[in-house]
Amino acid sequence: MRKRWGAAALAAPLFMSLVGTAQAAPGPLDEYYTQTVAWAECPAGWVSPSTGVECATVIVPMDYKNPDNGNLEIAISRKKATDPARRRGVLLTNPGGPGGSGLGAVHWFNAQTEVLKIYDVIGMDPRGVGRSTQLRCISTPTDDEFPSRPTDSQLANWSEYARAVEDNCQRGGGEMRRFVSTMNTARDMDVIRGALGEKKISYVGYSYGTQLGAVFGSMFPKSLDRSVLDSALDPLKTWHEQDVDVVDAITDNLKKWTEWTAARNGTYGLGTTPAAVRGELDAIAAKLKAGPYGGYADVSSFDYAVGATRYRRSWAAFSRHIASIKAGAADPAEASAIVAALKKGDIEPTSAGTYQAVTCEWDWFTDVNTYYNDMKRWRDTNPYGGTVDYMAPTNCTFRAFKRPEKIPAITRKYPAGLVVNSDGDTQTPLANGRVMAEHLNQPLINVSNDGQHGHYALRRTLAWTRW
Amino acid sequence: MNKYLVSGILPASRVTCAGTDIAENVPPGAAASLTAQSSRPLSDVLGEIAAETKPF
Repeated sequence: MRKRWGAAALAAPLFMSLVGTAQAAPGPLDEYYTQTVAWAECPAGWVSPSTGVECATVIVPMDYKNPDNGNLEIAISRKKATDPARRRGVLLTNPGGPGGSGLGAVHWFNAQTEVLKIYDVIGMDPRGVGRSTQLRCISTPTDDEFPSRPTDSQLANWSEYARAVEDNCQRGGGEMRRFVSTMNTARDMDVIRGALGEKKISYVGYSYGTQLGAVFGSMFPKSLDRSVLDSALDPLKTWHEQDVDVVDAITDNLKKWTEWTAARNGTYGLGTTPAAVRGELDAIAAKLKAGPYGGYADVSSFDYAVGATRYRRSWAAFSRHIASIKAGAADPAEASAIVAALKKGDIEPTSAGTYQAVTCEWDWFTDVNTYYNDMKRWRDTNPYGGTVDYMAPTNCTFRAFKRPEKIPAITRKYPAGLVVNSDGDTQTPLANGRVMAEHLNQPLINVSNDGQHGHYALRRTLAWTRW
Repeated sequence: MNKYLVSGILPASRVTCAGTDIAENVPPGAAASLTAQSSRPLSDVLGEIAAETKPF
């Protein structure tokens, strides 16, 4: 073996062996593709214990162009197909983020018996994440205190924070950081495919995982069988451009909620026109500028709570909530419970470092005034739902590392899969999924009148059949 | 009664997606204070939604 194994790789010798008979790939990566995957009981803390769930570690090069530059461990999990006679292959998964842990994917499909019958479901912590070799940032003080309606002089606080995050991630991530990318994770997926002895994989990716799936399909079209891209990104836009779509979706949801509520003035008493309903929100926000009101400590927490309008199912309850504040009858504990519930629905905190590296694959404006102008515009027109923060500079505005490669052109030379999005979703707006589907010439399912993020196989209230 | 609807270019016979109500029926003319007392609080609804889409 000529590879220089890192300390992390040596830490788990029982889980891997580079001698095996799996499907071979020619060239300098052959040893990675042909390694034997040694499945074993999952170590404590990897994934919720369950009968039939196994874990393993696959070794990949940190730098595929220079495999001698060290290796990384990729932690994977598996639940084997329950009907081996009908087994179609492996179903690799990704939860998004970027930087989300995917080992728990073996449990996501527990209600989808047909999926479990024919696929070995494979979960994966992508490079940089969780039980795989981690990419770390030195911690930076939280930005939780940033106001939803900043003054002009406060805008620079976002830049100061973002610059500090970038500096800390660069110092904490070191050489590994520039190799934590969508393209290298796609390469890792193909190594996993080969190591598992599979000619092709099927794939389900959620949110950012749709970008990963699209990149994988573009780079390895012969390795992809069936695919579901759920809550899809727009493969033709930058991350920041998609943040603009997010803000548009937040605003559209608010507009639709005001229309819905105005049409039910007899029930909620919040006005007969959308403008009047919006005026009630603005009146509450104005009172909050003077101090706590309606159970909210400040206007920032109220602005955040208005983000609940994304969920159509919550519209009636949200209208009642606003009506109760207007009537001076709000349950004082409800506001904090709303904020807590909304945060519970947000994306899980991602592994420190991976998000801040992968999102920098896209191009970002480097002039902070470009961000400030958008922040001011949304502060002055629709500060509800976190719009201003979406428009703020990120660590990528101050990217300190050189990207080894650009995102490849997204193409499809593999069997048509499925794209799923929902209108109302503010994390991956329907408009993004529509472009993904059209660009890949794949069917699109829109879960309409909804607002949620992540659907396929996950939601108990949605019954999925074979397609 | 509104339901989740599935639209797109797949023939309806090839996919189903049946969901819960978008929003509960509210009695026309009911006072806001009355409905606030008799219906689920927003935090409950949001908590239910969050639990539905784990791991997100």
